[in-house]
Amino acid sequence: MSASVELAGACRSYETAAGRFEALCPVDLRFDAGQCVGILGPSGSGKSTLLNLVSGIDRASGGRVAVEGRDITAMGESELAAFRGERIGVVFQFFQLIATLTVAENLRLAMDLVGRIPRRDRDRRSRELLARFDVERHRGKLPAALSGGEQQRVAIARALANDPAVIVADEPTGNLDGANGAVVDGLFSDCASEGRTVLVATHDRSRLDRFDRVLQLEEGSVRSDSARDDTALVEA
Amino acid sequence: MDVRWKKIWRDLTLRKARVAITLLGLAIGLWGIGSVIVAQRVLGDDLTTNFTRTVPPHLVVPMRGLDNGMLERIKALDGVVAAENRPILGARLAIGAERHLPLILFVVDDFAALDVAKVFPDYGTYPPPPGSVLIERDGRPLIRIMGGNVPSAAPGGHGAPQGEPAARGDDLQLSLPDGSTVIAPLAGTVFDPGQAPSRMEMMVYGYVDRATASGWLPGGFGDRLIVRARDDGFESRLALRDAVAAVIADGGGEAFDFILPAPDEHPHQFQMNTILTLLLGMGTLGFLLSAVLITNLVTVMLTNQIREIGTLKAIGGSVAQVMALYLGGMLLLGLVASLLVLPLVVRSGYGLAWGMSMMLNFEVLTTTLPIGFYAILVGLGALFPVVAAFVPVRRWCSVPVRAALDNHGAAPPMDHSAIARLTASLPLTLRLGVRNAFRVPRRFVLSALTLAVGTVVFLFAMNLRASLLNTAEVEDERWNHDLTVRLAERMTPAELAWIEGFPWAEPVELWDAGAAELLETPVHGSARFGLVAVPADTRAFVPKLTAGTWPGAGDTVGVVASHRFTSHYPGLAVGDRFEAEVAGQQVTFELRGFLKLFGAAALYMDAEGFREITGADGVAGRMLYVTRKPEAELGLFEMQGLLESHFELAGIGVSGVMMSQMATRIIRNHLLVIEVMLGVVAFLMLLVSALGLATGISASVVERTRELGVLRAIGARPGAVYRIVGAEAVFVGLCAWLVAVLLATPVSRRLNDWFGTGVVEYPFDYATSLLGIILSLAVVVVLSLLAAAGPVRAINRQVVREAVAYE
Repeated sequence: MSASVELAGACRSYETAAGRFEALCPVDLRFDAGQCVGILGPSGSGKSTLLNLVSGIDRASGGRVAVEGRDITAMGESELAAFRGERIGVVFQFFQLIATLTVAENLRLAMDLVGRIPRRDRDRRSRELLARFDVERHRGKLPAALSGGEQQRVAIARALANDPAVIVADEPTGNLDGANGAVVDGLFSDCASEGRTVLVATHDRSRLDRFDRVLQLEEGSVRSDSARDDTALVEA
Repeated sequence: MDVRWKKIWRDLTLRKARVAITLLGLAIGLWGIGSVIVAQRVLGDDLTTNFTRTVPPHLVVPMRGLDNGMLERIKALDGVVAAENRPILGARLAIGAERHLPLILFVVDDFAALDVAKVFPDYGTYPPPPGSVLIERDGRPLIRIMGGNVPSAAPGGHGAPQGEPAARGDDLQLSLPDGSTVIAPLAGTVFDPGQAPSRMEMMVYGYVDRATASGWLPGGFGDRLIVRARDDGFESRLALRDAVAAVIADGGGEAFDFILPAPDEHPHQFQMNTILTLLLGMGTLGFLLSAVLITNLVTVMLTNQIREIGTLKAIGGSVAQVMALYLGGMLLLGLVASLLVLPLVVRSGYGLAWGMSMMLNFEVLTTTLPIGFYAILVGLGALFPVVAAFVPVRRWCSVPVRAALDNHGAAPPMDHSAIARLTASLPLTLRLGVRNAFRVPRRFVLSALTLAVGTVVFLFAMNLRASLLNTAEVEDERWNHDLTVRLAERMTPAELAWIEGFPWAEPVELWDAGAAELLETPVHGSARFGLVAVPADTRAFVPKLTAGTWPGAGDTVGVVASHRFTSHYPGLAVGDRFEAEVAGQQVTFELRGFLKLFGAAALYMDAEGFREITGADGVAGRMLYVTRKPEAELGLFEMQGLLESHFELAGIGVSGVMMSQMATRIIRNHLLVIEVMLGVVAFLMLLVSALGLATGISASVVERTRELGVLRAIGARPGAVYRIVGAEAVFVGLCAWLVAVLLATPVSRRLNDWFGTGVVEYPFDYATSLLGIILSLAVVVVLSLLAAAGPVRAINRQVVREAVAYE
C-alpha cells in the first residue's frame, strides 16, 4: 500500500523563556491510505504538534513531511493553503465553525475557497454530506443553535467537503459526551473505509479499539506504534 | 448571494454600534474633503471666468490730455484689442447723518458699448439716466454692515433682503473731490467682478456717465486710459506700454503712471486659492483621521475572529482569500458611507462655493458637474477604507494557522515596571486604567496621536481666531489717534491753524505723502508706490519693524517698506539700494527695514528727509491724524461730523475720513466667512478624532472581555468597570491633549503666517488662545468619557458567564 503521509526525521521545537522546548522529537512515520490511526498520549506529549505538522498548520523545525508524495515542508504559504484545502481535511476539538454562517454555508464556504468541486455541484454535495452525517435538517441554522455533537458532525462534513485524501482531527471527541463521541468515531472509521487516511488525536484510552492503528506519544517521542490486534499495546 | 459576501455582511451587522460609529466617522471625513473637492471643482475657473468676462485691461494709465484723437491712435496700435478713457473720481457716499464711505466713481463714456473693463447690469435702469448713478452690487451689503441706509433694494440681487420693494430712484448724497456735494438718484446696481469686493475694501464703487461727471465737476478731472492687449505676455505688455507712452508723449499728454495689472487674474484670486488650500488640507487631514476608525474597527473584528482566520486557512483559504473577506467588508462600508454622504457633499460643496462667491463677489457659473466626477468621488470613498485597512488585515491574516488557532485575544500585560512604579500610588481603578492604556502600545500611540491631531487642528482654528483679533488690536495700538483725514489738496499753514482750533481734539498731527516710482519693474502691478512722510516725533503712529531700523530725523535716503511691498519686489533685503523718481527728482533710496502694517504697499521715510528731497513746505501735508480729547464727551461719529463741518467752513476739501478702528473691521470682514468655515471643519476634525479614540477604547475593551468579566465575577460593579475604562480613556485623552498643546503653537504660528500672507498679504500677529486650551481640555475629557461609555455599557450588559467564557 502506498504511503499517504510520511514523516522523515520531522521534529518541532520552540524557543521559550526557559530555553528550548522539544514539542516533537525527530520521528520517522508513514501512514497508509485507508488507515484510521489513533494518536494517544497525555497533554504535552506532542499529539497536536504531530497533527499540525501533517496538516501543514505548523512548520517542522527539521526533517520532512510528505502528503501523497508531496513534500509540504518545502511549500510556500499559498501553495500549502491550496494543497491543504484540496487534500487535507481538518477537524478541531472546538469545531471552529464560522459563527456567522449557517451550517450549509459553512460547507459551501470551504468549497468556494478551494474551488475543487465544480460550482454547480457544491449545493448538492453540501446536502449529501449533511444528510450522511444526519444534520441535514439543521442546514439553515447557525452553528450556535446546534448541540456539540451536531456541530462536530458538521465540522467533519466540512472537512470532507473538498473530498480530501487525509483527515486530521485533534481531540474531536474531547468536547462531546460518550454517545456523541461514539458517533463521531464511527464517522472517522467510515472515512477510512473510503480509502482516506484518518489521523485522530485523543487522550481517551477507552476509544482505542476504534482505530486500525494506535500511535502512543510521550514527551514528544513515539513510545509505541501498533496495529489494533496488538493486544499488549492496547492494554499498555 | 455569494457565501463570502454573506459572511462579510453578517460580520458587519454583528457589530452594529461599532460599525455605525465607523460609518459616521468615515462619512464625516468624506463629507469634509468631498465638500472642498466639489467646491474646488465647482469654482474651478469660475472666479477667473467672472473676471475675464469683464475683459480686464492689461495696461492702466492715469494721465492728463487724453483726447479722442490720441485714443484712436492708441486703438490703432499693433496688439491693441480695445482702449477706453475711464477716469475715476475719489468721492464719498453719505450713509447716514455725518457718516460716509469712500466711493470710487468710474466715469464711463458709453455704457452701451463697453469693450474693456465691462460691467454687467444687475438691477434697475441701465444705462443710468443722466444725473443718476449706478453702484456695484456689493456696495449694498457694505452699507448695511456699516449701519447706513441701504439704497434701493434689488430683488434677487446680491445680498438683497427678500421681499423688499424695488425703490430705484432713492437719492444718494455724494461728496466730490472738489469738496462739493451733489444729490444723485440711484439708477440701480451693476455687477463688476473686476473689482475687489466692497465689503473687503470698505469702499463703494459707483458709475456715472461723462456728461453727469462733467456737470458735477466743471473744473474737470483727470483721464485714465485702459487698454486691452491681444497678447498678455509680460514682454508684450511692456512693449505695449512703451508704444502707448510714445503716443501719449507725441500727443502732448502727461502720464502719471503705467500700471500693468496681473493678466486675467482676479485681484482676490489668491485669497480663494489660499482658503481652499487650507480647507482642503484640513479636510484631507480629517479624512485621513477616519482611517484610524477603520483600523480600529478592523482590529476589533480581527481580534475577535483570529481563530476563525486560522480555521479559514486550515480548511484551505489562502491569505489573499481571507484578506478579501475583510477588505470586502471595508469596501462595502466605504461604498455605503460614500453613497450616504454624497447628497450632503454636493449640497455643502455648492454651499461652500456659494459662500466663497458671496465673500469675493462673483457668480457661480458651474451649476452641474459630470456624473463621472461623482462616480470618481464615490469610488475613492469606497476604496479608501480598503487602503486604510490593508496593512492590519494583511498582518492579521498572515498570522500562521497554529498561532491563530491558539490565540485567545487579549495581549498579556507588558512589562512596564517603570509605569507600574509611577502609578503605584494611584487609586486601584485609576492604576488599572493607566496601565491598560499601555497594554497595546501601538494602539495607545495611534489613539493618542489621532486625538492629538484633531485637537491641534481645533487649537489652530482657535489660535487663528485669536490671532485675527490680536492683529486688529495690534493694528489699533499702532495708531494712537481716532480719525485719519485724507485731504483733497495739501494743507496750507493757515488751514492748519484753523484745524488746530477744533475744540474737541488734541493738537493734530500732519503727515505728508507723495509718490515714488521705482525704476525697476515689479513682478506685478505698478512701479508707483505711496511715499509716506512720517514726522520724527510722531505720536500718532508706533512703527513695528520686522527687520531693520526706522530712519533717523533728516534721513533723505533711508526708507522702510511695508510688508505688502515685498510681494511686488520679493528679492528686496535690508541694505539694498534702489533708484526711484520722486516729485520729478531721481533719488537713490536705501532700504532700512520692513514695517509690519496692514494696508496697501507703501514706502515710509522721515518727514524732514521727504521735505528735503521734494522741496515741500514744512507745514504742508495731505494726511491729518486727529485724536479726541479725553474730556470731550462725544462719540467718534459725532466728532467726525463736527470735524467735517469744521473743514467745510474753512473750504478744505476732504477726500476721506476713516476711524482708526476701521482696520479691525476690514480685517474681520476679510475673514468672517473663513472663521466660520474653519470653526466648522475644526469641530468636525475633533469629533472624528474622538470617534477614533472611542473605537480604540472599544477594541481594548473587546480584547479584555474575559478579564473584565472576571473582575465582575469577583465583585466589581458596573460603575467600577466604567471607572477603569474611563480612566484609560481619559488618560489617553490627556496624553493626546498634552501633545496637542505642545504642537499647536509652532504649527499655528507657521500656518498663521502662511494664511495671513496668502489671504491679506500680511502675516497675522500671532496669539495663543487661552480659551482654546481650556476648551480643548474640557472637550477632550468629555469626549474621552463618552468614548468609554459605549463599550462599557455593552460589556456591562453581557452576563458574567458569557464574558468569562469569551474567547
